[in-house]
Amino acid sequence: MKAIRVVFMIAVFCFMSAPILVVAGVSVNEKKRLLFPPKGFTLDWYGELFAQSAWFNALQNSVLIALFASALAVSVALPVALYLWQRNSVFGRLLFSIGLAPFMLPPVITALGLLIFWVSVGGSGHMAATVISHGVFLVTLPLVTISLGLESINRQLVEAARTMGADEKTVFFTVIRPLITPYIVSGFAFAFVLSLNEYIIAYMVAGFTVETLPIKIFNSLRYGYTPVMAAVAVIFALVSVVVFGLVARYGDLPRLLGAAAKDAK
Amino acid sequence: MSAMEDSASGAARGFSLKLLPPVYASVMLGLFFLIPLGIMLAVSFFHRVEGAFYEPAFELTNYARFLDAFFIRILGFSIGLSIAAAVIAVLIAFPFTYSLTRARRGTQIFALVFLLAVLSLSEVIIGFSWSTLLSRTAGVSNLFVALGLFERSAAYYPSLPALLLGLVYLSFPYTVLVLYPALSRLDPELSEAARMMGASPVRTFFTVVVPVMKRTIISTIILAFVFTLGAYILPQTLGKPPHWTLSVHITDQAIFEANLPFAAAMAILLLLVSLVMVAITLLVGKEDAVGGKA
Amino acid sequence: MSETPGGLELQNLTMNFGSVRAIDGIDLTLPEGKFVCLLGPSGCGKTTLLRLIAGLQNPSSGDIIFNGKSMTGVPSHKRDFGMVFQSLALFPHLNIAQNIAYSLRIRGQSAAEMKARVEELLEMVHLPGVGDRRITQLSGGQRQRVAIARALAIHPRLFLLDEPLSALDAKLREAMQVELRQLQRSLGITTIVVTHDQREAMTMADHVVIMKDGKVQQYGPPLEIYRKPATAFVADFIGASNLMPCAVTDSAAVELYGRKIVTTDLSDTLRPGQEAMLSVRPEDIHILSDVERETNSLSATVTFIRDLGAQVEIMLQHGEQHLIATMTPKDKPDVAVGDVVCVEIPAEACRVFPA
Repeated sequence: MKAIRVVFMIAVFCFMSAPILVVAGVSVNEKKRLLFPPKGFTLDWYGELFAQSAWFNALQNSVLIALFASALAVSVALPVALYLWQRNSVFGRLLFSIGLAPFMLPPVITALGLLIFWVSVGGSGHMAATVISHGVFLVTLPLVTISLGLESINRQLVEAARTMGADEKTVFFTVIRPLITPYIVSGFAFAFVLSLNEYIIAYMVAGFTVETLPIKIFNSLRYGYTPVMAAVAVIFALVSVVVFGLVARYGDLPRLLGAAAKDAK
Repeated sequence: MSAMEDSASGAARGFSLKLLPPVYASVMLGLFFLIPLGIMLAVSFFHRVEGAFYEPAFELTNYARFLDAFFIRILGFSIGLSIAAAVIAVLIAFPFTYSLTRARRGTQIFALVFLLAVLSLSEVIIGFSWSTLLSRTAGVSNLFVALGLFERSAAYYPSLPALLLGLVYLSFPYTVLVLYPALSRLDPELSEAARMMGASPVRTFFTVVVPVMKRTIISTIILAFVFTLGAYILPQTLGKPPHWTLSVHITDQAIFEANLPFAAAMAILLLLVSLVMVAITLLVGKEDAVGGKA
Repeated sequence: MSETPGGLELQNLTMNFGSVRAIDGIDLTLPEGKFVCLLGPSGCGKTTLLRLIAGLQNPSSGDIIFNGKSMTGVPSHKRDFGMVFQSLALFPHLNIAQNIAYSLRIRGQSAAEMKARVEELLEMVHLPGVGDRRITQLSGGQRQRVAIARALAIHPRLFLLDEPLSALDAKLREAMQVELRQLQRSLGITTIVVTHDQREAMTMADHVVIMKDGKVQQYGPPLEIYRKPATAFVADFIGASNLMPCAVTDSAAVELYGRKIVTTDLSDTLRPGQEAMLSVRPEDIHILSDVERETNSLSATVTFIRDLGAQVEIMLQHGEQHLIATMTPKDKPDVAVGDVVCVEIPAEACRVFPA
């Protein structure tokens, strides 16, 4: 029985990693052709990403948008999570649900709403519009992680700090913030990785002027294959693994994803 | 004396400052999420003007157009495809996640990092990867040829099975991560009690784990359904034009047909379908909680 | 009954979790038809031992012999044991009758057979007629009874309980201890209960196994363990004890803070000059207000008097050594906090352990 379980899990793992492995193989082909198993070995296509200005430009756009958008997402998520934690009011719960909504709905809905919005107010085509759109769309992730962090705080810690003379601001900076920092950081990391990979909102809001890497890949795909796409795909997969690996290394990943606390055996 | 004054004015200032962050957050969410949805709702009733987006009006033409057999078929196909993908994904993900939550912590973390990485991968990259894997020159069929199963390699996409496969792949990590909290909090003593009473592992799984998790399974299928409903790239890369889903047509109308009012009307319908589905999961979840307390 | 209940033999049983040895070479024979308590502080390995017996975990080495047959390789679902879990593990998707009939259904009994047996079991645990209720409609104590009925449904060959009463409040727990003991006696089934509550063990058990760090410290009837603890740990863990460092002087006495204490308990393994630990039960200490005796006494200052009505506890201090004496109210000496008194340590009340 245990053997069947292990075989099943390994089979699923193979299924999940197969496409990435094939793309990794394709990305080191010497010739500019889609071949697997690869013929020859070269890392030139990874270099092309930085050498070709069109690809490098898209890379820059993606990283800039992801950095600012995830910072924005955290800046909106933190007050919402705190507000709900401090007073469990109807408005707090409403705000929290609105923060969860973008991620629960098919993204094309938010994307079209934002397209019409930016066309109406005249921000369409600007990188700032993409940053704000991503920031609001990705609020869900830091909102969930920070709320989990706050839930793990024993409220008597706050009361203890208050009895020792700390005002609300001091309590936040000396007790709450240090305790939820890991959750803020992982929320930022989640939002960063998802912003890097997001396609449809970036495309609808400013796709024709601000090309991100996913947009660039999809556009190039229409005109035929280039191994740089495969290289980008591999780099993206690696970035995700590294970021989530770091989150797991410095935080309690199972807890962050909703498992009960570690010692609750 | 002055210290008292200080703390008094500090409290007054603190009160106004304290409200600043939540007000800022509400404004951001309202301005850049609720208002765009509101404008979209308004636009869905507007009149389309060829060559110049739209003009304010109140007409139901955009919704009426949806009653056209063509679009009804698209809606039906999108829903059917998403349900199929969601059910298959949950069928695989449930036993997988159950095994995962019973595995060692190191294994769990490894699998979670891996699944998070796949989940966050751009749909563009997933579409590209699967089209490569299913292609003639670089795909699995080469492996089959090498094994002597086939005479010559073939492309397996674009096709409906390829699209379904891609959608299952897309929603699998999401499904696992939705199931993970519930299954990892499932009291292991429930299964152990069944074992002590003579149930084999398989029998335990089907007579205890699955029935106890029934509501979780249903709401996970619905959430996975809404998630796949949002797939936009895969139908274009792995499917043929008849396999294009509502999400694809919304973008198509908005960008290439420049018919924003009609795109908006379709998006509103998609929104309604999704909201109803999410509401159902909330209701299912609520019943669960009530049942547990009563 | 499917089979006669039988005795259990553990042979050099060892269980490692990574580098941690949870069970460390336990050899033990538990007699047939008896009520045995596994008792020890948290982390002593008692729950692990129960799970090994249940077959929910496989030992790293050693063997479990039940009814003369090795249990190695027999999965838990083929052992025909009954078990009550700490969380009770009642199935939330089944009603009470379905919970109790679960093991009968697995064994392919007919609906009529199951119905009769469920009614009989509910009668046995004093819950007649609740079969079609949901688990959530029962109180904690009632759930406890359902869990017990469910575990006994198949007439198990061995009845295992893992801290079964820990979720109940103190009063209910005491009542259930008596009930559980009476039930076991009437069924005559070999029963093993894990508990960390020594009072619970004293109430129910024919035999108690005291465990610490994965090893058995002592095994025997509860009163024998109380009267003659084998180690300083057992003396301290079972009931309260005054533990005092001393040195062996000859075959019949030790030196305690410069005073000679005659004892009847010195074993051959303790040599003169050796460091040792003297243990005296609080109820065996006498407080005398008169002058000091030549042997078996110690002067001490009264630091606190706790008068609980039914019992009086007097805290004492000699230098750095804290002592406690307990007595009934009618034996309470006429002393007050701050008084210096003479503490008598009777020779027959002393236990001496190697340090």
